[in-house]
Amino acid sequence: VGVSANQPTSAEALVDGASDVDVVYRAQWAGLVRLGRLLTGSQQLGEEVAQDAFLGLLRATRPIESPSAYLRRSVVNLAINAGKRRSREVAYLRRQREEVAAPPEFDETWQALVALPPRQRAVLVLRYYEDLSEQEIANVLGCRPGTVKSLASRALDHLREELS
Amino acid sequence: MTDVLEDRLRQMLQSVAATTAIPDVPAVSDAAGVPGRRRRWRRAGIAAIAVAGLSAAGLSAAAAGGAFSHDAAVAYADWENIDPATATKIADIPVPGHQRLEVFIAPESGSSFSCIADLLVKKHSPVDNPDGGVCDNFKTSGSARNGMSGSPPPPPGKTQAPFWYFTLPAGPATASAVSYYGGKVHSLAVKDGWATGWVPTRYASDVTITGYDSQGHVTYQLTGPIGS
Repeated sequence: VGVSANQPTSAEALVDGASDVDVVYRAQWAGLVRLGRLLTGSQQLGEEVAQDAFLGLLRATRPIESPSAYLRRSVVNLAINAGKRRSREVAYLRRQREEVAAPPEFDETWQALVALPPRQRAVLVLRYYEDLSEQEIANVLGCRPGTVKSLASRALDHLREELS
Repeated sequence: MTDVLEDRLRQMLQSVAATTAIPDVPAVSDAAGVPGRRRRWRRAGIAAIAVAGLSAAGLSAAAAGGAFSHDAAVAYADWENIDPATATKIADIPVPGHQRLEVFIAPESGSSFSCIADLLVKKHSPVDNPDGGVCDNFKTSGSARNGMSGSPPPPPGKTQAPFWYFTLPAGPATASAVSYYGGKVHSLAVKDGWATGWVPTRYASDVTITGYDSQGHVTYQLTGPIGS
């Protein structure tokens, strides 16, 4: 008995039905980790914000109409806060090294992106990776579309300057 | 308007997303039972790599005295649900650059968690307030692999910090050491069940941290990278 990613739910409902949690979790997990990594620039931090976003869903006391939108918004906000705090607590002492290719640190565009302020970076990731409109990005960030436009403009100007 | 930069951005983001490692989905029971924030579901493992010999050299811990309320207040400045007055200093060690690393722990109100925060101090003034850290129920779920690490900002013109530092629950260990490339072994500061130390960044990718009880028996041993 699963819930679709868009079915209203609550913490109680999720906890009562572990299979429901599994459905939502499994459906969203990979996408959240990828988004978290792009937003934070870090594989480890990306995993953390994805995990924390799901914890927030579990602890929600009010019904959530769209868990997928809730989770995405949580990942974005957690990533921005992590960047602001320069949260440097990272997983360490991992036995398993990453089996995939290392982050493309040779890619100057990636380097320039991760050096942007968190909100500017978030706007670019949401716009060019998630393909969200200015209004949708504004909804995720909790700001006005004009702010999104301004953040995007400044971010692109900065990248052009860095990459010229 | 789409320009070359926007195309490059799209391509690069897709490329990075494609190379992102997707770990196994954490167990739901783990998530449901977590009452506080920044609980970590680490897949950290413990590799049984023996450390032959231990010479306490290099790092020497300065005596970690009582908490300085001012420094604790700075360390927890941006934290919610933390009263700096309840913080305890669990480490105060010298680190490169004529600096000291102070590490605090404080209970998080409304939860059973405690939160670690650190502070780099130079000439009695904070020079780096990471205001990052980690909260966990260290007393019950904490283990030596469940700690935190950090680094100072890179010097001007550099891309890497000169060193990484770390703090981890030491359990019953009364002494602890970190070893890394070239056979270098340095003792860590151990106080009140916590071990704290640092390693040069160039060696941080592969270190072994070992704890010893008062009889000299190994209580934990961890191997892997420190930092991101």
